[in-house]
Amino acid sequence: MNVDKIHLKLTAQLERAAGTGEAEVDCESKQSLGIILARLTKIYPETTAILGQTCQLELSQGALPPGLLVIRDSTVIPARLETTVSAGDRLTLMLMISGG
Amino acid sequence: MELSDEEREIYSWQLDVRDFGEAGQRKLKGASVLISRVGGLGSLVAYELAAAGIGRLILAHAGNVQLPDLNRQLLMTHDAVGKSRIESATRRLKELNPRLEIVSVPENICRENADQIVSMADCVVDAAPMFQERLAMNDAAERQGKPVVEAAMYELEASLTIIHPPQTLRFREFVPEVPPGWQRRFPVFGAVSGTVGCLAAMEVIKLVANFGEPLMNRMLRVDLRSMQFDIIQLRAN
Repeated sequence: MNVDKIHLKLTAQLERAAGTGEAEVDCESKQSLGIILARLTKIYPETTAILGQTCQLELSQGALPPGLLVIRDSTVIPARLETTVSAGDRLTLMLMISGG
Repeated sequence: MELSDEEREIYSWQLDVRDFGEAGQRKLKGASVLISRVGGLGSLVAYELAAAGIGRLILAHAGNVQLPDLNRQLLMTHDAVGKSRIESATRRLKELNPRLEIVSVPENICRENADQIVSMADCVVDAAPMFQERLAMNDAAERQGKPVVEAAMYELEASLTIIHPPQTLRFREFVPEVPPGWQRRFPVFGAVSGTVGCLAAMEVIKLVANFGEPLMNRMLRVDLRSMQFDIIQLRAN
């Protein structure tokens, strides 16, 4: 099976935790968001504090953190572990911020 | 709500803005806007709304001015360190616009006081540093059918949208509960709060005067590190 990539833009505290605002993660033609985020946390373990434990993401256990927006093609998509994403997608993981 | 000759002169440059005119200016003069808090972001919103001729501001912010406020809270002054934030903000706003009516609330918004404070306003600007306050403000505004200009920043990023269900999604559909890990203190430059504060003020002006295209079901995301400005579609209009 050819494994392609999905491109993730990280913002705010996620970017700070990972130490980068851009990441690429292996992605089969279709995959669940939970698996993609699990792979991200394996590359950048510091992001587990925000996104959740890798194993929980892999098993689609629980929910994504409150205030996480997932954006594809300038449109918010459901921020659920079971949401389907595709190889070649460019997603932005945007945490709602509250600086005032 | 008629304009005086002096007001026509003060606002003469904005009266020439297409689709705004004297009708829009009268709407601003007749409007009450709540801003909480009046820190880095809220200060700029308050200042620009005072400059634009808003009739009344309700300012909610507890506590005294501290030295770390001075990199971004432009309504605070060095000689006001240790003194009431609200008093400093009121003084500075009145210097610019002595006609402005200001209701000072030396409290931060919470579940217990949100309904009463929001009830004083036609429109709410949410510039609070804590999600608990944002949730309380939005819940109260939703109960009262009032629009909320949601503005926030972190480091060199900012976001701006309008929450006004049922025309838009509810705030709790984005933030159902307080996200873990958000810190009261966050990295930021004053130029970031200035940027998004001015943008938020313009959203208030558009909402109150009913012109232009307010950010309903759209979020502006700003990254001043890369100078990227993106519009994110939250829901089809």
